[in-house]
Amino acid sequence: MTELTGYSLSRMSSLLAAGEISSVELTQAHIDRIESLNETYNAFVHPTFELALEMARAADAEMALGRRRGPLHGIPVALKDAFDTKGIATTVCSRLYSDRVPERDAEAWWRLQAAGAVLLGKLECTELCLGGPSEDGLVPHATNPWDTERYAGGSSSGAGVALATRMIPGALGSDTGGSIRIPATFCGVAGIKPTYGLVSLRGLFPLSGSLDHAGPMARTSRDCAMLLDAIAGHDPGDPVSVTASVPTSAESLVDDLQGIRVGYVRAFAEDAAVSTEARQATEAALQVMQSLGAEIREVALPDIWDFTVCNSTIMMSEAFAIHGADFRTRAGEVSALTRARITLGAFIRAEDYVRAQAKRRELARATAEVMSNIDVLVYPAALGDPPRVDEIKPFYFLETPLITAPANVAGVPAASVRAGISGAGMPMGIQITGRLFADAQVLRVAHAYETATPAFDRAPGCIS
Amino acid sequence: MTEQEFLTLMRQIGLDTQDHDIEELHAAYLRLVSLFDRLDTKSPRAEAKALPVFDPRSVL
Repeated sequence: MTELTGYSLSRMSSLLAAGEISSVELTQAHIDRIESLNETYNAFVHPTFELALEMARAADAEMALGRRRGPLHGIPVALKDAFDTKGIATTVCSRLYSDRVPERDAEAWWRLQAAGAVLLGKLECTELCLGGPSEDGLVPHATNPWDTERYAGGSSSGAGVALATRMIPGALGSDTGGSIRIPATFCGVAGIKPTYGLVSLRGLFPLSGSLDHAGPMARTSRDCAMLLDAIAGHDPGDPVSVTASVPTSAESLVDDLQGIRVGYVRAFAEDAAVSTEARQATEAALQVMQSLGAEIREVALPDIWDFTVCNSTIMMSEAFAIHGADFRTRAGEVSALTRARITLGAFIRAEDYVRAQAKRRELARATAEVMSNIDVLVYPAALGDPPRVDEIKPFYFLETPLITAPANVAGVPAASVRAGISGAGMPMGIQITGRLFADAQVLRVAHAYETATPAFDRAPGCIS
Repeated sequence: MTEQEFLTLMRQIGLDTQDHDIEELHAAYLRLVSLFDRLDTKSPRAEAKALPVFDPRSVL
C-alpha cells in the first residue's frame, strides 16, 4: 500500500491544504491502487480515471491561486452506482438499466463537486439496491477483503470494499434498510445514514422513496462528518428534503463524552439472532463510552420485529411499484435474488402498505419519546459475522430481524462504527443512533469512541 | 392462500410464473402475511389520517 492511500480523508485534506501533496498526486495514487486491486475485489464498475485526473488538475490549479473551496477540495471519492452522474453510466448494476446514462448529476454528487471533490468512478452495488450478492447479475459482486468467501454487505457493497482496500478515502452510499451501515460493518469501515430528508435524494435511483437515505461512507467518523457537511442541506427540488438547519458535524467533534447520555438497547443486543460476540462487543463499547464520561442507561424501544416488518412492507411495496412494469416483461434479465425480493412486493395489499406507513409514524414517535431523555442509542450494527456468500437466502429478513431497520423507520441518524474483530477474524460494529437532526451528536460520539479505540483501526490482513 | 391461488394471483398481476421459484415465493408470502399483526396501531384512524402526505408545492 502506498503511504498516501492509507491515510484518512482528513489527513489527505490537511496535506493538500499545506501544499505537501497535490490532488493529481493523490488521485494518481488511488488510480494505481484501483488498477492493481479491482480485478480481485470488483469494487468499481465504471472507473472515470481520465475525468478524475482532469478534475484533480483543475483543483490543483485553483488551489495554486489561493482559492481552496474547503476541506474536500482535491479529494478523490467514488459513488455508489445508484447516484446519477451526467454523461456517465448509472446502471444500479442491473441489466434493466445497462445503457442508462443520466443527463444531470444527483444533487448530493453535485454538492461534492462544488466542494471540489474528484470522481474516481462508480461503485458496485447489489442489483437495484436490494438484491445480491449474485453470480447471475450484470456485474460481479464486490468481494469482502477480510474473507472473500463472506458477504461484503449490501447494498453499498462496492463502497465498503473500496474503502477497506484503500482504493478510495470516501464515498457516497444509500441506505433503505441498512445499506450503508451493513457494508460499513462487514468491511470494517464507517458510515452514517443521516436524518431522513437531510441529504437530497434527487438523482439517487429509488428503491423506496419513503425509506431511502443518501449518506457518506469513509474509514473514520471524522471523514464521514466532512463528507456529510458538504452534502447536507435543503434541496427545493426534492419533495422530502427538510428545511431544518443542522449544525456542522466536523467542527463539533471532541474526544470526550462528558455530559452525553447513552441509551443501551439491551433487548436488541440480546435478541436470539444476535451473536454473543456482537453483544459483547457492544457492551465493551459502552464501557469505553462510560470511561470517556458518558452516562449509560438501559432503554427499551418497540420490538425489533415491529420495525423489521414495517420496513420490509414499505420497502418491497414501493420497490415493486417502481419496477413492476419491467418485472412483467423482463424479469428474466434480473438476478434471482433481486427478482424474488422485489416480486414479493407485488402481493402486498394497499391496505397493508398504508397500515405499515401508519405503523411507521407510531414507531417513530415511540423512538422519539425514548430519546427525549437520551442523547444517543447504542446497539449492535449486525447480528454477527457476515454470512458466507453461498448461504445467503432471498428472504433472510423474514427469518431474522433487521437490526438496522429501526433507524430507517424512525428516520433518525445512525452511524456504524467498527468495534473490534471477531473470533473468525471479521470486523464487528456498533450502531450509534441519535435524535432527529442530531447527526452531529451521533458523529461526535462515534468519533470519541473511535479515538479511544485505536487498536480497532485495522486494514484487512490481505491489504496490510 | 394456497399455492394454486397464489399462482392464479400471480398471473392476474401479469407476472410470468416461469421466472420464479413459486414454492419459495409462496412460503415467503405466507411468512410475511403471518407477521402483519405487527402493523396494528393503537389509533389506526389517527395515524392513517396523516397519509398520504402530499405537498402541492412539490409539483410546482
